[in-house]
Amino acid sequence: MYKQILLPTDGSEASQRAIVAGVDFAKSVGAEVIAMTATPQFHTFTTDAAMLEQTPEDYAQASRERGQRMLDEVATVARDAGVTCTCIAVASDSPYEAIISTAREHRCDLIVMASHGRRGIKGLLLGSETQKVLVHSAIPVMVHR
Amino acid sequence: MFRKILVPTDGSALSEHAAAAAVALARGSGAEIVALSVAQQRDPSHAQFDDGTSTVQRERALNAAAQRAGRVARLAQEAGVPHSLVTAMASSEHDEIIRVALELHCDLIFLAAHGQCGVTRLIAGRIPQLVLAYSPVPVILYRGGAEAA
Repeated sequence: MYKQILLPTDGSEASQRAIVAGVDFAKSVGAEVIAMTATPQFHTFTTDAAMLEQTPEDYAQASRERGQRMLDEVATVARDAGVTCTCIAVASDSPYEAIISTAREHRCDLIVMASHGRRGIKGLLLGSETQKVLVHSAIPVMVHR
Repeated sequence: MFRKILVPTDGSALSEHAAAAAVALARGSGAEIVALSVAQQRDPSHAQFDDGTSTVQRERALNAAAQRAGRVARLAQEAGVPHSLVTAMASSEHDEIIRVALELHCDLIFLAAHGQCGVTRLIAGRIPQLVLAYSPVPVILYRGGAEAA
């Protein structure tokens, strides 16, 4: 019933738990997975410490590597479970938009994500990007705590 | 992977579509369905106006809930999916959904992203959000299929 499952990750522990659950679920229904990360663009005016210290080129390089590491982690989990995995790194300042458009482009029929991500702000019932994906997604979303 | 899927319904069209999707998932993976509908408990402070109709109202509310849950159970039956049916009366719908999930050892909650109190499509429903926030198990939120603006 589900054939293509999108697994967005931000490298957080919560994300990793959701990924494991997402891969297990994919295996149980015979689906393939698409791992994705959304990496912010470089901005000159920013409060991001990493961006302030680096040149655009350095930042882009470091970002790419960070993103690739996160995707590699998902690919490993998928491979160990025998689930086909495609990895996509999206350059975007808006994770939820990147998630929605990737889901559409790759005709995903389910998104699996954590309830909270990297920022994990306490007291928020639901992480901000998860919230936005829920509002804008046309397809079902599995939210994992 | 999921063995027992809780499917709350509030009788809305989206709820019924979500239930059909839940049944399809259950059928494909050999899981069972628990169909649940919660009847809204009236504010106890209204008791001062009690003229003996409250029992009738309560029965009516529970019957309506049973009918809503029954429609989900029928979908499961037609698909050959093992199922059970639960109705409850509670003042807090999301608390009741979570309580039932825990009590019956469900490992997934599958529900519509918008509730009967509809609101606009720019917001995910209040009750689904609350279920998501407090659920001890994963939750699949089912959308209608057309993207929000």
